[in-house]
Amino acid sequence: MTPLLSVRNLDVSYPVGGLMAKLRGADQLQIVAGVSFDLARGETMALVGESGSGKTTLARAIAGLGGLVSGEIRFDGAPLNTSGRQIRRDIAFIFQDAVSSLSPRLTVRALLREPFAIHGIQYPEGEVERLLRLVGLPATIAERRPHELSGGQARRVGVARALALKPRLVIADEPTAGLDVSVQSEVLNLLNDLRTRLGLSLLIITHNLNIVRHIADRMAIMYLGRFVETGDTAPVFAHPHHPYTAALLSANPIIDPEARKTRLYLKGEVPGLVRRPKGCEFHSRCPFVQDLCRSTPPSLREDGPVSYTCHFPMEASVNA
Amino acid sequence: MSSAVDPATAAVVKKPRKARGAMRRLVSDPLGALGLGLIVVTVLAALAAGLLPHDPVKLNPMVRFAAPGAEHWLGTDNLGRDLFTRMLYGARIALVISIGATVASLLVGLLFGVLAGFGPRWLDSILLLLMDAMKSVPTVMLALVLITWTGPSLWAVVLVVVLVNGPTYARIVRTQVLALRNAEFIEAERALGAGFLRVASLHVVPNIIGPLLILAAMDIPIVVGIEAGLSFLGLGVRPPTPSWGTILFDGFSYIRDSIWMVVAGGLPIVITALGFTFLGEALRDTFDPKLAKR
Repeated sequence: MTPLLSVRNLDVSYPVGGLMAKLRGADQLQIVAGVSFDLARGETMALVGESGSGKTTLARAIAGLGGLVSGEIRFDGAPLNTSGRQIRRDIAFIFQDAVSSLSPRLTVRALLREPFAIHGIQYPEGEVERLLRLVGLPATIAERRPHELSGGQARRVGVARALALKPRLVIADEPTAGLDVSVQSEVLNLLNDLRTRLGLSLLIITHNLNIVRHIADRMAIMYLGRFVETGDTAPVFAHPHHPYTAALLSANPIIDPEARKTRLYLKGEVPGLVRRPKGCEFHSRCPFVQDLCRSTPPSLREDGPVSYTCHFPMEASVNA
Repeated sequence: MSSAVDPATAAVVKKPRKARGAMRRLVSDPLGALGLGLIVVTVLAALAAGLLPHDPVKLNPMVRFAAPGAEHWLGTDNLGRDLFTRMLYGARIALVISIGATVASLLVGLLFGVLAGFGPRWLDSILLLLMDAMKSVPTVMLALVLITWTGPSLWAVVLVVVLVNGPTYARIVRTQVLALRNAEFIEAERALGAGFLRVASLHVVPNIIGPLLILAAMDIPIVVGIEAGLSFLGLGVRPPTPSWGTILFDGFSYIRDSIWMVVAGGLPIVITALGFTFLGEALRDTFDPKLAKR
């Protein structure tokens, strides 16, 4: 069966600078570079990485929300038309800031009717109430405006709006940002529950590894706009191959005073995208850097359900 | 009348409908109430003009420069026309021109501001240049050139006002659109597939119109002044149509014979200007969140 979403060698750039930069041929900043992955129906994949690693840019490019895209995106086997209207119904985007993603002058009812009005679809009777029930909100909330909602309620309204047109892929950008821990888990369980009930595929952007472990079937770790490691969630957590993955995982707090962990520290700052490092792009911060890394970019290697780009992968025991 | 709503009442008023609460707060502000009152008087005067027994333009040389009395409440002018009647008819001209021209300026400003704010950078640059070029021309010079070209008329006055005020609104709209265009709710609408027209009319304009309306209210007295000024210079409304500006000019010419023409032309300008200015000030106070608690 063809995967729902299939991405091959995707580059995403943004225009920068003015006329002079254009003349020099340096008017585009490449943010996502050579990303490939498949997302099956009903599967949840998490994009993980630091701020600025290109997670959101990648997700927005897939949803057709901007960026100069080259490479191939196939949706349900056919090339995705990122400027068409059908993509707006098939792919729903849940924005990071729940309250400010809702048009401030509209009531919740009007907000939930927007998708139908935009696509000229006959509005089904009682749909607002149905959608609110779906995301576990009381019908009385329909007459409120965004500023009268709590963060969790606004997030649920955002989810309800995203689901209104029965999308097949839902992309959630930091779905738990700015929420209390208890509300975070509610929202995650809601997304997970809806995924199984409605047969959605989920693409979740986060830097919270506990969320990944909790909800994602597969994960991809991004560094400077590239996937440095992808694979099924459990094996990646058990045995990170790429030193960056290992460092990221070792920085994740575990609530267990008995647990002894060796922290793997990274030195330095994330290098700028304008001048990407030669060789392996991680070499400037890698604790295990060798001469080969400075000259030759590593190719993709596979180890069972995990693939990674590193010349000298970590041993299985380091983070165990 | 108490100057501030007490907090308990304010809370009760605020709940059911925001606009009603704002209206009540506006009226409870003495400045707002006075401004509204003066505007109501002007509007009533304009409406009542047709009920008066005298003809505003018919000459009556037998009673030139009559003093105020039972027959002519404000006396007559240099051609024997009833000044009170002309003053009320003048209110029609003043209100129609000032409100019409301000609404037109607002619409022009919204159109160009949204285009500049949403459009590509080159369009923004061109429109911005045009706006600044328009703003750099002095009003009277612009009026002189334009009216020399078209000939004096009511429409020429409206056109001058739109050319002078439109760019100001456009600049404000543009800035607000730039601030809003990358807001997440605009992104969210685009992600749902909403087109430019829908985003602009349903999600951008409603969120920026408030401050513009306040500015418009404060601009109306300026437009009244422009109309009167141009008519005074003979560039506006053509005689014999009664305009406060032409009445004032006649009064200026015949000041040695009667003071009442100056009164009939000047007093309503002052009243209307004060009314709209007070209203604008009060509106600003009402909608300014920092001042709302006062």
